[in-house]
Amino acid sequence: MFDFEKLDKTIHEKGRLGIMTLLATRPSWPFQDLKSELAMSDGNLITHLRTLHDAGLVSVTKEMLDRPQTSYALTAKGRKAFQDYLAVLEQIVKAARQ
Amino acid sequence: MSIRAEAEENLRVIRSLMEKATVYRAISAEAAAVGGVLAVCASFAFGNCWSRTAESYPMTQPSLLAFFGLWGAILLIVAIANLLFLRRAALRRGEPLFSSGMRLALTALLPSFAVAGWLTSLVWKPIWMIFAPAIWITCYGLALLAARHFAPRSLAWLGWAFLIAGIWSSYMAITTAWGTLYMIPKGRDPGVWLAWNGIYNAQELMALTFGLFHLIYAACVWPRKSER
Repeated sequence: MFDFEKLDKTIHEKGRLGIMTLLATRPSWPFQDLKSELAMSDGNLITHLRTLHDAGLVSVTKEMLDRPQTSYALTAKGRKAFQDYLAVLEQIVKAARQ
Repeated sequence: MSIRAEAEENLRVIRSLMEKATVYRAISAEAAAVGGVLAVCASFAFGNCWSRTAESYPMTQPSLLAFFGLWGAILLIVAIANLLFLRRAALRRGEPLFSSGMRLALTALLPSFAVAGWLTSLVWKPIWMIFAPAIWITCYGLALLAARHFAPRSLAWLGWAFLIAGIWSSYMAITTAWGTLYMIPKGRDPGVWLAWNGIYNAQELMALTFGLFHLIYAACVWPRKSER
């Protein structure tokens, strides 16, 4: 029987899963790009990003380009957690098929 | 929802988001605007210039170097501008210029560009100039369509527009060439007459496709302020 406790609950939530997925595709994502790609409100996105940051899965960089820009990236722990989460999902699908 | 259905749904969401995020726009809106404006201006300016030359020296061949040189120079300028705009966009995303998306795009675009180069070398004669735009337009359309699997939909539409225009241009080139040969004024050399007709036709086609199509594309995909 599959152990569902292996699923990382921080990532499993739909909004945070979307954020983690996008962060896994590029070295970093500006806040505005994440917002337009995920079609989330500012408040919703900030709350999810804070949760991920508090869990040590996401790092934040604030820089001054032509205007202030906040970018987010996966930490090494975050990348590992996302890969593990994917592996668990695959195991669930495989186990259900057998 | 069962845990299996939920897992499958999450995997589907991850896959579609990753596909969306890895979409690569090989031609920036800004570069398309630059190319469009240059193509339209060059077509009108040099069309007029050559028109006057033809009136003054109707017995001489149009200059191959002037025609191919002009469009070669525009290609070079737009390619450099595109690289600069893509570099700026890549920097903003925190990616290198030659990212996996860029490499994928180059792999898709280069074969058609190489064919265009090869076919251009075959029509490097004044009387064949009429076919050059048809080759460029068709090959450019094919190049864009080769990149459609990872390009935004707008680029695929641009590719289809160029491909259809390319096929139409080939037909126009052939009918113009035949029609021209039947209407050569007395005392004119058929080769020179065909070459001049070809160059006027070519300028119009270039303005319509590389000019107008790119301007429409740029207007449609110009980055909104919120996306910058």
